Amino acid sequence: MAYKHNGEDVFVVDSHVHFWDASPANWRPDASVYAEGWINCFYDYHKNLSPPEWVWPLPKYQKYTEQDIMKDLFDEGYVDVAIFLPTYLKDWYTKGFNTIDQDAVLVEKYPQKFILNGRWDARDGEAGRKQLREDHARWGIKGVKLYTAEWKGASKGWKLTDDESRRFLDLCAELGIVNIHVHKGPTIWPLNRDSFDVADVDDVATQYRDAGLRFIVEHCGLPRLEDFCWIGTQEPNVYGGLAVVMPFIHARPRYFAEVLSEMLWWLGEDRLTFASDYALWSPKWLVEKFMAFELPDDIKEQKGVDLTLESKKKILGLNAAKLYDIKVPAAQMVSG
Amino acid sequence: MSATSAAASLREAVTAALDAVTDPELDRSLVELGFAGAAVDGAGHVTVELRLPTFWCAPNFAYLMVQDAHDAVARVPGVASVSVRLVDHFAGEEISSGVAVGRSFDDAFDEAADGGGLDPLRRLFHVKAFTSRQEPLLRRLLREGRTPAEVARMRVSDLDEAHAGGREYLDKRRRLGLSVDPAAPLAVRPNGLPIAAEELVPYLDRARVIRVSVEANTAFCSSMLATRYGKAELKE
Repeated sequence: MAYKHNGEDVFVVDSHVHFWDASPANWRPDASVYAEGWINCFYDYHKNLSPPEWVWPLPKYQKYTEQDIMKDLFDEGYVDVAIFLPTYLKDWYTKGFNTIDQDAVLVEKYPQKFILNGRWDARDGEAGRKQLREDHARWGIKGVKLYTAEWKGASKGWKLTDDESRRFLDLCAELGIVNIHVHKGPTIWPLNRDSFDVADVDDVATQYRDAGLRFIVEHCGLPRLEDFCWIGTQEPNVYGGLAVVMPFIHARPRYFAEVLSEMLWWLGEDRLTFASDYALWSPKWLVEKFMAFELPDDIKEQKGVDLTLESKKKILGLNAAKLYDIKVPAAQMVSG
Repeated sequence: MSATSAAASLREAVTAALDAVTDPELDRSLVELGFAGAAVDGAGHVTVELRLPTFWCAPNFAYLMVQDAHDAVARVPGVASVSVRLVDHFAGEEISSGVAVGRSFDDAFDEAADGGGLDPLRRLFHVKAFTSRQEPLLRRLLREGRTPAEVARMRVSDLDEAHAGGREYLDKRRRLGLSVDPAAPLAVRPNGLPIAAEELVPYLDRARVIRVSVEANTAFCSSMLATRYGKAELKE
């Protein structure tokens, strides 16, 4: 079902969704404390920032069905196209948390609805690059999700600037995998530094700009919004993914306005992409609240930014459509 | 003094000491945030429990909090021993026991740390706290009608009681090791150099996003703690 504004359809791309399995049956017995800790943390995010009527029971949150995701995204959630960003976590989940294979089941069934992204991990070396070539050949992926804080054996994270990481980025450039979604969780190595540092994005964004790579920083670098904004203002190929930022619109509208206005000020409305991070949150209420949202006057005045209908359309779908060459009906484009 | 009132005053002193310890990233009191509470027994043994908004809160930030809480409480006269327990955290055991035996962070996590210690991290957060306090103060001076050149010429002594947040700004400035001498320039960078008139507005634009980030993180961490433990959250 399309979202209608003054009788006209608004094009919505949800650029960060999951089809995860965090049910106890999928917890690795030797790592169940982490597998449970991970999904419980997600569940606290979900409970904390969702309107109460949107809070699920924990067992459903651990593992939801095809019917749930189709209803929540497309039947009721106004989404035209959703982009899967896999997150493996195989040290904790036997079959992985949200893998290409899990997502591909839905992609094959509903090819018009979903875009499948791949993933890689710099620590996987040559075997990982072989897998990436295979995933690209099989699925024609145009993007990858990188989670730099993933645990792997004794390693508690990696950096985009690691030599092995640059080999993967070279391969992405060669294959035309141009959308690099980066999730900076609390990278735990080196442990004594700022765990959320996004400086490595700056480095590779410069290096791979001419090769055509775009770096979509998920969660806009939160909790390091300031570092992200400075990088974004210097690097034209850096984008802000609004997953996690969006739900503040309900629970913390003032901070949502403050954070969004900073991003409009530093990056502008052409480099921000809407996302629900489903099933962390659901797009229906996010889209409704976002379309109804206005920046408070004092913020508009102090920062000299505005969130117009045109900005909203770009953020909700048109910007991501450009990144992924998604065809948008002419009537749903913005003028100019 | 009776034994009961001695115990009560020790408990008060311990809570006051703990209240002075901050979350380094958010620059707010652990007690105010609801992160820490202390129990004192009749023999002066103190147990501090630290609980954080998520199971995954950065272990290095947590280490600073456990270490600072330990040191602050240990300095209170009459305290016989201190044990700080970080609970419900993926590295809680390593951090609690590391601090208990007086290991440095790098020793406690030798494989994972790069040997640089936590001081640079602490300084980074002190700089952010300083900047977050400075931005609204200098912005207000401009809004009151001063030009950037006039603000750039102001001295510490030009600040008076009417300037809300002035004292907090000077506290953060002092903590960075910067001069708060009455004759020192009011508008300085974290390295102590004065901010030139033409650099003032761009400097404040960058400072503003640091403040917004710290405030948003504080709000989020506080409400996540409330979700996790069912406590009241800080007001917006």
